[in-house]
Amino acid sequence: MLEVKDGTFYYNQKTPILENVNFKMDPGEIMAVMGRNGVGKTTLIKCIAGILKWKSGYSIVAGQKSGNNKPIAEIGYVPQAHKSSFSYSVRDMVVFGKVGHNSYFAVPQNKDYQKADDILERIGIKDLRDKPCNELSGGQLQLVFVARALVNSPQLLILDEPEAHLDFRNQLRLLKLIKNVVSEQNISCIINTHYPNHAIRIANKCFLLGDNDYQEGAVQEVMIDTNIKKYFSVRSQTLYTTYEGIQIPTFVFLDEV
Amino acid sequence: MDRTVRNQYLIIITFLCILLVLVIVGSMVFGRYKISLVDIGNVIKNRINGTYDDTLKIMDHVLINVRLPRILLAGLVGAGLSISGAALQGTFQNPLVSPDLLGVCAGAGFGAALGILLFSDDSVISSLLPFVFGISSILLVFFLAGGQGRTETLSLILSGIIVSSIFNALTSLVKYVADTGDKLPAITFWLMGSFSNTTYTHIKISIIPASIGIIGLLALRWKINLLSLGDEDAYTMGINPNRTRWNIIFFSTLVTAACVTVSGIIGWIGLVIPHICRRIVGGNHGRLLPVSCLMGAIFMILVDSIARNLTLAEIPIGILTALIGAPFFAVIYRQSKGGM
Amino acid sequence: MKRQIIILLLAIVMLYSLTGCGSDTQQEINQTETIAKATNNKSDEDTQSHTRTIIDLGGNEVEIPPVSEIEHVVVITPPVTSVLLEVIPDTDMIVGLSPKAFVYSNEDVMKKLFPNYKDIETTFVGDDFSINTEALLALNPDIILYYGENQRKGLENIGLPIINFFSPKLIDPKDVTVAWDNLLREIFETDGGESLETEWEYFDTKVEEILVGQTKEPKRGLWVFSNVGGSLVAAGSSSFDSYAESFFEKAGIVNVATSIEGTAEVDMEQIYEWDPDIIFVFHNVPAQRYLNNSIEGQDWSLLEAWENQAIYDIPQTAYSWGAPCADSPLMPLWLISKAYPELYGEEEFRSELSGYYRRLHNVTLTEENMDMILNLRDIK
Repeated sequence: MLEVKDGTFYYNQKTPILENVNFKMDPGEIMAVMGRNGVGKTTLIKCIAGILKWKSGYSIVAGQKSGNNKPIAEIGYVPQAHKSSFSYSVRDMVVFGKVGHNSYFAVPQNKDYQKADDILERIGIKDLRDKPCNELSGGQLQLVFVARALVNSPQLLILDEPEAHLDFRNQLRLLKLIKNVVSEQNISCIINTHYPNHAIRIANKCFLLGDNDYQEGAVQEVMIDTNIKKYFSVRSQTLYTTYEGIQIPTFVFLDEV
Repeated sequence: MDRTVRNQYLIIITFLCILLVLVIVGSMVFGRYKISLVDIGNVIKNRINGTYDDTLKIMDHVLINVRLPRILLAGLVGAGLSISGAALQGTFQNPLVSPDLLGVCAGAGFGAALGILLFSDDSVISSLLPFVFGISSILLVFFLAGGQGRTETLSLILSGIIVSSIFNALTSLVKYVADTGDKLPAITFWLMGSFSNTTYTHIKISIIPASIGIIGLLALRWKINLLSLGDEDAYTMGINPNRTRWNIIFFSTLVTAACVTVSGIIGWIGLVIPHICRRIVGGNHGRLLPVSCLMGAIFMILVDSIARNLTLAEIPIGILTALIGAPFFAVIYRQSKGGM
Repeated sequence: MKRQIIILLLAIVMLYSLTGCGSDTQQEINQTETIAKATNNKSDEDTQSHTRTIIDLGGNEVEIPPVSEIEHVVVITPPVTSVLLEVIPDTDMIVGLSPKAFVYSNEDVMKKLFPNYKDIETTFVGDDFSINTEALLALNPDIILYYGENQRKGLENIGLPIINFFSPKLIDPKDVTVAWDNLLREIFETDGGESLETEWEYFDTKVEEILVGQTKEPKRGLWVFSNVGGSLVAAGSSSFDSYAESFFEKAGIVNVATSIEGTAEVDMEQIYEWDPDIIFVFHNVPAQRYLNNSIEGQDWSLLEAWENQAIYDIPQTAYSWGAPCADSPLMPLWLISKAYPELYGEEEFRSELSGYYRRLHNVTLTEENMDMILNLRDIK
């Protein structure tokens, strides 16, 4: 589904942000990208999404190699919630997801609106559909952006800190939604997050990015106290709770190192 | 499928089309030369039957050769300036942008002044020059802003300011050296903008580039929505933001240059009409552009009719659009409490 | 950094050398003028007490030197220049003119009235009447004649007598020209000779006598003030920039554009609506092109005046007769000769014209001169 091969990116050649990144993802997998502020998490997902170009190396999404300056339709990207200069209705905003990948002069058809309504229904914000986006709360807007990414039936969903502006109930809702969508549609998902507890709840894989190296692997193996100490300079302790028969590890952050 | 929004949009479009026809017919009836409805009927009858009536000679001339081309041109220019204003506002994510943002009007103004100064005998060259310089101003902006590469909105706007001021300075230079007897007034009249003395030649000059531009913008209208969300969003939603932006700039330049070439510089319309239309159909450029186009044509024909009829003397159209447009704009601005 | 400084210095040097080239000739003039001034100064000291005070048309009290000391005159207002030519003892005293002074002039007539008019300095005043003070002072003027507040800017603080020829109270061309003539006569103390006032009296009675015979419906005239770039401007009722109405009134012609205040752009529809009997063209596009109907976007052939070939260029001598000038007393009579030729023909007018020039300007006009003045102007 997704393969990154020797991915390297820098603004200044002397200080590469990403160097020789290699990993693979299969359908149905969710990978959490984690790391300190400014370490290059967003750079990584922007490179995969094609917004930034790999300086060397490449990525392959759904059989399409990066680097031909053409957006790959199979990628659905969810940016952080931000307002726009013009207020569009929620429905329009979701339909916009359809517009770009259609032919160059395309005008959305009835079936595109139909699809947008279906997705709004599934995400549970159908009642918002005629509201102007600029009047929504940050959480609602984030959901709209998720819907906009999903309307195109992507093979790879990329989310940039989607829970940033949400209260914890909405955080929970959003994470559940992502998990459901990924398993229902058997797609891959990369999620960029600051919360180890979220990563461990929804992700199968974890990508821990440091200043000079990275670790990538199954989330239970990567997201451990020693790595939190190494990559975040924070002392932590893992506790376990059980919910609906599943043991859930939880990190308690004690002090900075 | 929410049919109400779509239906509402179709109703608005239909209504505006009907209104446009009514406004055209109305403007045909009113003018300084009094023509009764009966005589208008007779003129049309004669035209259709190919008959000739010497007593209707002047009326025929006034209707067909004075009023009709003027109304058509006003409509074309209104539509063109409004749609390119709406398109550029979306593209630059700024509701205060007007069609002359990137120096098109300044370039065309210089071209016109130069044409009057050097080629006043050759009407073909002097009417082509504004168009040529309008287009070249955008090419200059293109190179200043860094060409096909990753062009930031800010560097585009800065380049536009630079190019505008260069051309404005050159225009002043031309005005300075121009003969005050007949060339300087001609340049001044042109810069003020006017539809008086419109002939079918003006329409012939402008109709092709303006139509190409308008059709191009209409075709790209949904893409403008994506651009207005920012380059990153636009890219991930499947368009190449730089290429799309340049396409839109190219088409709107084509329209603006074609309009300015035949009408002179007419301000406000490209700024005000999109705002009015945004109040009616919302921000979605997929609907905003067609509505702006129609509304611009209606507004311009109406304003020009006022310019023709209000007093014996022609009122310069640029003054009227500003006088009517600016308060309109102020009212809309207040109603929306500053939020565009 | 070093390189940038050098480039900057080079640029400054280049700019200065450019301005240097431009001002070379100016400096030469300056030098000769200062010498002239130095010699003048001696005589100034003896006669300084003889300054006179006059009241100009703007109502300002102006102290001017005695007439014997007025050697250099600068005149910024174009129409007054033609009257000045008639009053001034010697045209060589005129050292500075507006570049617009003779834009509406007939070259052959000018050669007789003011032979070296093309050599007079005009660069000190811009087309918009902006003044280059240093260039003006370099001309060493004794008095400066100007017209209205607009031209006053740039003259106020130069310490020379400036005389305003604009009065907001005067709108009739007769009053205007007579006021100019009288003020100029006061300045130059020329009491003898024909004055415009006597000429006006003479022509007024003549016009009155002729118009007694005019019992038919008066002709309806259009005065085209300008026609450039497809923009047609008609002259309406009297104001400071348009004397059409007054001249028409004197000649018994009705101004179709009387409801326009001053001058204003009109569209062709309005012209059709007015449908004038006779059209007078002030400047720009010459009348011949109206008669050929070759003006793009304007169909003149639909008008009564065109059918009757009654479209005329307003004559130009030292200045256009459409504005107040030295030949203004002739204008009503000329209008009559075009509007009512059955009452007063061109032949009679020609004899009046040559008589006027002999009396007022001491100039004999040849038949060719008069053809040039009265015929339609050539299409350039």
